[in-house]
Amino acid sequence: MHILRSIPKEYYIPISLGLLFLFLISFPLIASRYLIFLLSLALIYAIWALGYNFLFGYTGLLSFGHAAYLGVGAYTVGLLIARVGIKSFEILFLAAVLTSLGISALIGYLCVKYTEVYFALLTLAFGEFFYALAFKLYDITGGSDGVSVPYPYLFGYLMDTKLLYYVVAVLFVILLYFAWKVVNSPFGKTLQAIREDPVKAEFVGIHVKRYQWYSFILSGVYSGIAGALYAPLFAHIYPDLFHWTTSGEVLFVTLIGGHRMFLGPVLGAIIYAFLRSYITAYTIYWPFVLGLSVAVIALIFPNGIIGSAYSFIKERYFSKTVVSK
Amino acid sequence: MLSTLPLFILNGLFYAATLFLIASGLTIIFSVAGILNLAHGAIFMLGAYLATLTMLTGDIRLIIITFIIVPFIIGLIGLGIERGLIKWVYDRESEYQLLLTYGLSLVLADLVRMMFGPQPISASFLLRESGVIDILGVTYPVYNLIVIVVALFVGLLLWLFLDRTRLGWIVRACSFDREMSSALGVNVGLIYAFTFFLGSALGGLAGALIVPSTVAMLGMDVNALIESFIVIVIGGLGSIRGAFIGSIIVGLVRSFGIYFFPRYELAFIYIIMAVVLLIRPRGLFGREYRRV
Amino acid sequence: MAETRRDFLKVTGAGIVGLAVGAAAGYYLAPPKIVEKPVPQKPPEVPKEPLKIGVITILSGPGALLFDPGLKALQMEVEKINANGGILGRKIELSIKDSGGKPENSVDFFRRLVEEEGVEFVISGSTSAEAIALAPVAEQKKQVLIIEEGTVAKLFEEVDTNPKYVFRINNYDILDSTSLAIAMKKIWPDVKKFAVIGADYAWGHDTWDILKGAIEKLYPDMEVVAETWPPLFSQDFSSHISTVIAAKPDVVALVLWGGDLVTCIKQGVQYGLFKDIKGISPTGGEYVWAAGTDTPDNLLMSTRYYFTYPPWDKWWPNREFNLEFHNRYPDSHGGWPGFNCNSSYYAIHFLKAAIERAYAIYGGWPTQEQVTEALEGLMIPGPGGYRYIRPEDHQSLGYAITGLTKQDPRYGFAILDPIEAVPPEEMAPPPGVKWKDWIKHWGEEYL
Repeated sequence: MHILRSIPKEYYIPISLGLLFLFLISFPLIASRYLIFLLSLALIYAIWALGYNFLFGYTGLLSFGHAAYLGVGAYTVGLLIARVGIKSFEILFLAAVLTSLGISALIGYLCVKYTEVYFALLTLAFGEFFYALAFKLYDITGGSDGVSVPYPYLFGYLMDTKLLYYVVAVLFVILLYFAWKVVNSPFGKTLQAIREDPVKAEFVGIHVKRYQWYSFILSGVYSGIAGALYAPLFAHIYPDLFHWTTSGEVLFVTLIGGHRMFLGPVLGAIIYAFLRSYITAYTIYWPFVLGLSVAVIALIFPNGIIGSAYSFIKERYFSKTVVSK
Repeated sequence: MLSTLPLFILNGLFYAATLFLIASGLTIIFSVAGILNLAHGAIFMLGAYLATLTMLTGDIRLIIITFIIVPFIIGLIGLGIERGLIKWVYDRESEYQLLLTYGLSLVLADLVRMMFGPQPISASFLLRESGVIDILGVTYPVYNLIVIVVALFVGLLLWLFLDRTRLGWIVRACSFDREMSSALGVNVGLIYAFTFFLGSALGGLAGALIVPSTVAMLGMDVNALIESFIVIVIGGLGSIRGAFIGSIIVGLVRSFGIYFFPRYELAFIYIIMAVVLLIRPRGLFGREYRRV
Repeated sequence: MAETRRDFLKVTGAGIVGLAVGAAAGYYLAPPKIVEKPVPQKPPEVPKEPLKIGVITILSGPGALLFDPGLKALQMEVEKINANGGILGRKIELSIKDSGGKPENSVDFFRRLVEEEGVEFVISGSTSAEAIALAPVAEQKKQVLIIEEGTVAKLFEEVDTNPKYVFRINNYDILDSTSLAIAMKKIWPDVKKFAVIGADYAWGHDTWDILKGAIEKLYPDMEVVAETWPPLFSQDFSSHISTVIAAKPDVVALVLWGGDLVTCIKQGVQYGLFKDIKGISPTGGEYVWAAGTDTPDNLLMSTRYYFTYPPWDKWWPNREFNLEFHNRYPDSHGGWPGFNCNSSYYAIHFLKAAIERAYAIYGGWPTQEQVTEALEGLMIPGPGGYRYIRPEDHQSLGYAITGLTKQDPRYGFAILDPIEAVPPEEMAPPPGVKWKDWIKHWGEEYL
């Protein structure tokens, strides 16, 4: 503990990020190829959920169409590789960021005019609009069969599963750090003020709609980045990426971890990705087991796994007064 | 088109009938207990599968009491779910209620697969036996008319119940203000349990009614859930009248849309929702939405 | 948190240094790439442990109706092979995964099976989307993949144009439609106006495109008077049926499957759809079993295998396979094996035959490459007759079956009777030719 205390507080974050990065980079040394694949998937989910939580956890807006931006990122990358023949991942990545930025800016602008459940419904409708596009523009998107996506190249190196893992890990650490900076910046605090009371926030001079819009765009871009990584990981894209059930998944991932905690969505994503993969692999009655696990988590962790663990530890070890029940 | 116009109206109403029954169950539970029950689609599917058990026997008396027994059993299942699980999450954040009912929907749908297997079950005794009639020179199945009439009748009963009975008033009072009702001596917990019974029974009835003219098959829960959800959005969340009008709009637009724009059927329901939300953000009969 | 610009830079700098250190460490710690050299060596002995085969299929959701019987047939055949000593003395162990029809689950399972569970071969009975997602992964992993369904034509026309490790052992979309068109020309030579009720997804549109192309060749003055496209798993077809009736076609094509086809036929009967209009359905043959006695007579349907063909008295493998399946699973899928069961039979027996053939040539347990060589051009007997794997594009072809529905009280559902089987060579493009180019010159001899 003394060593810990002697480290200045402002180094906590870079040190823990550095440690996390060291762990992620050295993970392939100890893990099988399959686990690398699975962790890539989990980290992509984590990036997506992290972005989702800007809007949901920090701004208090429940989007039910966030699969749209994952899909936009994935389809940008997938279609540019398969239909246009662009192989360089640097360009593809940039294109995915730009398209998800543009589309989330446009849709966000229309959606933030609405609040609460109507916001959720409008995002749902737009998500389904993109689903219908991917489904119906058969000649471009291959309809429900989807498109097979060849591996892109990163700086001339073939981006196979292993290189992709390193890319995902690096981006994850950068985006995690950036997200931490954002939520602790004045901008992030403004978002939280809006979440707590939009009326009051408006009253003290915050342009609520504009901040909600920024938050929407930010989370859209994170989702787009997740999508840009998703396409080469599965080497295939198909319309269900846009479907409302996929949108539901990111909400549930965030809830499983706990949307009140910064790390909640990240850990929720990792837990969910591994849980789902192992349950589906070991029983053909996986919807039953998965549904049961989700229901149990919802019942016994009122703030998500991380949220509830945090409040439990805080209450148990750090609270000065004895809480009587 | 002109000679077949009544046919398309009837087709639209037939579609609206089952949609209304499912949606009214969803909206009652939402308006009173404040829970968006994502397991409602699975409840509907369970009703359809249970109904096939008696409908395959071909015994007409047994089949008729199916329409009473199946809703009752499904209602009891809904009651059990409420008392066993949902009761504990009323004061949680509404998103965790969603998570719970989502998990439940997976579990229920998979239970159906375990019990009934993956093959679609067709039990068309009632459809065949009720025959067809001639409407302006076009053949139309009588069973579709029965479904429309039953749905209208159930809608009427629901309205009478909520509007004219003491219990109905209490239910409505709970949907308006939970604390106030509780302070006035209403056992709110009991009312919630009753709502789940009623809502689930309506879903079960919809399942039993639709089975003769279609098949009970896996996956029917997902479509039913999203479509009935959109219907209650169009009509205004929590409003039975809204669900009624909303389902008729969806049914008729779909029916005529299939004739005029057959390639875009996939998007009809979302287009209707977007249009309604842009014109009337609260839905047709929605009151100010507040978080329960 | 009042943070000055300098602090921010410091923290950022520390983060970047951390990243750089980590990257460098990762680079040096990464294991060296193993370069595989072809070393001449004695062929490997046949291992003692069981032969593990991965199965990725759909057992949940609406698609399960097709693949659940297929899995049963596969397990039945594996049991029989094991009882007779397995493959070269190795017992077969199946590792079964349920993808639920989702391509990403399939890819996940494929990697898990190959990289984690160490299976030697993978059989995939799944959708077209899953086949398109899986094929490139199998090629890249150099892992034999046998596709039972996933019948989309573009799998070998666009996605995997030069397949090495991927094989498809079922008849595919083209044959379903071309054989149907030919049978229709024979039975109803004078029809003119067509309508379609098609499932609104890739298979529905593909199949209708091919069917329309074939019909245009055989009926040069054909016209399409109505098209309706219900989404998958619709519960109500009344408006589609009314639209079709209002357009007064001679023939309606029901490009639907599973519960959708059953519902559409049931409601169609009630609306009098089949009174004046002839019904055809590609691949519909076995789905109408679930409709029981509701199916009207004289609907023309095609399928990829039908349990009554080849006739049992002339072809004993079919009789044996059917009776065994029927005795084991009397409640499954009308009690009789469907086309997916047939392809399960061929999937496992093609593998067995290829391994044994490679063993006979190389004298050891074969590598993946040796199995692919042995599979190419292989021909084996089975319930549906002799099947052959084309070496050029790894597509296997068997009889294309068509027939008219006819209620049969012995079964309790409508069977195809009379049945017509067309040799596949004329029904599908030759290897390397895309169907769109091929169909332009197809069918002149049938006019």
